[in-house]
Amino acid sequence: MISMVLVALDIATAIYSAIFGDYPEITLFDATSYRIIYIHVPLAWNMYIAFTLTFAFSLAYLMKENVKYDTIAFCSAVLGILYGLGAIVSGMLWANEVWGSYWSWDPRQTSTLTALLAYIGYMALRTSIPDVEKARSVSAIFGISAYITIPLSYISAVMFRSLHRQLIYQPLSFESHLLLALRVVTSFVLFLFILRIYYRNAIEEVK
Amino acid sequence: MYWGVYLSLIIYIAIVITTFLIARRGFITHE
Repeated sequence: MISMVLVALDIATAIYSAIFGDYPEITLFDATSYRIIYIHVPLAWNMYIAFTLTFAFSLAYLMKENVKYDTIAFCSAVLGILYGLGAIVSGMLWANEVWGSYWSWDPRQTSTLTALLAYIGYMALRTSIPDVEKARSVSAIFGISAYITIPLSYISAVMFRSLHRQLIYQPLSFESHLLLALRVVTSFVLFLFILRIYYRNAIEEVK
Repeated sequence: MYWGVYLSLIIYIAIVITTFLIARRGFITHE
């Protein structure tokens, strides 16, 4: 019940911010495209958090060999891939208006795509090993090593000459920051609830 | 308003509902 309320609340904030959210005054292109920030940023943050959980619980699984940790790592990776796909597609739609093309091999675009491919590889690897115990250990090792792509994706916009840096020069208003913070928080709380439901169903299946 | 905002919103809502359904019904299995 509470999860349904959270879904409704999250969708309501998404609709409100996308339709009424504040955006900076820019005349070079359609400035309303900046409203995608309220969709794109929560998705990207959820992806980062999901893959961080996969990393942490993969490490915990290798240390304690508890199936529960492996299940959380797996569920988190599935959700991370879906959120990551959303982040990339919404980013492309925004880039089409602001940067002039959907895909420009921007460092962050490229590194995020690499991260996503790495975790799709995690799923492929996991399902390709018939021995369940071995699949768990191997995918845990992969889950840890694939994590290198996440900090790389995060810092790539600052480390390299990235188109993402232009956001620094277009400061958003205080109201925008508040709305963005609200969106990130509601979206994150919903993510945790979804992960909890997913984990419960998955662990039942393992038992 | 830029059409991409509406499309992003639709994609976001689709992702939220999809992840919720996957979690509840277990469409993607563990093993």
